[in-house]
Amino acid sequence: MNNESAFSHLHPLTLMLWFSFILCATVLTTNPAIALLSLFAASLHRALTVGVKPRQVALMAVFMLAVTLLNPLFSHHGVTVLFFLGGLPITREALLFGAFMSVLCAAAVLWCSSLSLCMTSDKVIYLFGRPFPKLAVLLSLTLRLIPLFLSEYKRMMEVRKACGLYDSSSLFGRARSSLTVFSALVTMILEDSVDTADSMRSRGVELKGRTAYSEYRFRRGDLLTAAVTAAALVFVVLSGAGGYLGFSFYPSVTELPLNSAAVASYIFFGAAALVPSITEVSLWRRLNLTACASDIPTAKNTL
Amino acid sequence: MKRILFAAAALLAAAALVFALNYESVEEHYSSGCSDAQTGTVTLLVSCEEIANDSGVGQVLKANDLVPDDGLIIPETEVAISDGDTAFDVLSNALNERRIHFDYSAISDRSVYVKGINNIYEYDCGDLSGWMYSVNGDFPTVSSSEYTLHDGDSLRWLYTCDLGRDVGDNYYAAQGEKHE
Repeated sequence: MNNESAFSHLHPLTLMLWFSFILCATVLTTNPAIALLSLFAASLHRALTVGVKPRQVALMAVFMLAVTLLNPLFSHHGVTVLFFLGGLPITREALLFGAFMSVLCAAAVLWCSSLSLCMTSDKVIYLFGRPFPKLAVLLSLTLRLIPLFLSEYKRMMEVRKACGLYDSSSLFGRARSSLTVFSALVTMILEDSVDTADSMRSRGVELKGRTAYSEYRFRRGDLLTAAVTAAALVFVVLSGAGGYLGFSFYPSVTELPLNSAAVASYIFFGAAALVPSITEVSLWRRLNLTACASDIPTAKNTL
Repeated sequence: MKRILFAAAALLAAAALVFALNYESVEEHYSSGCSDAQTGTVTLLVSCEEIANDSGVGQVLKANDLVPDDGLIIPETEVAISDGDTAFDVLSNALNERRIHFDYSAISDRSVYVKGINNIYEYDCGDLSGWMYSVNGDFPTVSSSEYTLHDGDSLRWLYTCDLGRDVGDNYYAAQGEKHE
């Protein structure tokens, strides 16, 4: 992915705090206002970083519609019966709960796409390298292996094709040609990992007191983001634990809580959820750019 | 073109599903009573007294006016049965007649499990809660849709909060003694 996000320039610790808060708060509070705020902020950040792709929007809409419509087929709970299907009641409550679940799922999926955009593997290693060094190395190696595997496969396949060694006449021929490449690929990957292990050892990976260079610094933006996140965390957790955010769909849909604790939670949650988008826009302002981030020339576009 | 065809196929499949599942409006569903020849009568009672009598459970249900004060969703009444009617048939006919919501799931071709009556569901009053039925005081160990009733039987549908122990089923109590 060549898309960059201004938000990803924050310190890994801030990012981890922010993402874990947003994901947990979205998924764990059964409150439609928080779910909708989360979905809105997630879509906004996605639109600002990756851009709006009609195909993806359509796919998401179909997914949300499917979740909405499938829930009443399996859950017949609820006091407002709309009609009967196969002798069982289809209720408005189940339909609304399906809609709520679809918003929740869509928000979670979008936040996870932002997470993979911002939390690159170097940041993961920076965060977990000290407490779990073995796990971090393992993660970074395996995570690197998959893209490496794919790109090498593609490269080998192209070479084979250019040499006229790819039999595309039949399914069997295709399978045999791909298998040849696959076998070479496995050999290559095994050799590569032995090489990696050797070079890591020669650089003293297992030595005690070895330090790693990192360019992350906790700046003013991090402090601001962390403060907003912490405030939202406190408000949402306290109001949630106190039952001020309570909302239930069954047996009948309750009213949206609008007490002062709930409203404060909505405001702080909304503010925290909008931090990445605000960071994004404020960076453009500073750079005097009005175009979408995806129009900014990246390594791929300039090559 | 391919996409339009795909969308049309999906729409058709959805329509076929709805058709196969037998769509009925609320009015249609409740007015379609069965009129089989009557061969006898049984007494029926549907009760959630265990919730009504315990102020500590089912707060949400009570707030929604789903639990009657005396706990009787259907007070003891005599209902007509036809040949081969099961405990489940009698319950569903009586509830449909009174337009009371209920929910069940099919376990196999013949067995069904009653999940909720009058929007009072299993697990609403703890992990050991749900609907049970008794015939003449005994708690059968088969699904209600496999238990055929006879003239003069007394059928009771009871909501338990303690795996049957609080409504008079001593199946688990007896099991407990066996283990001791």
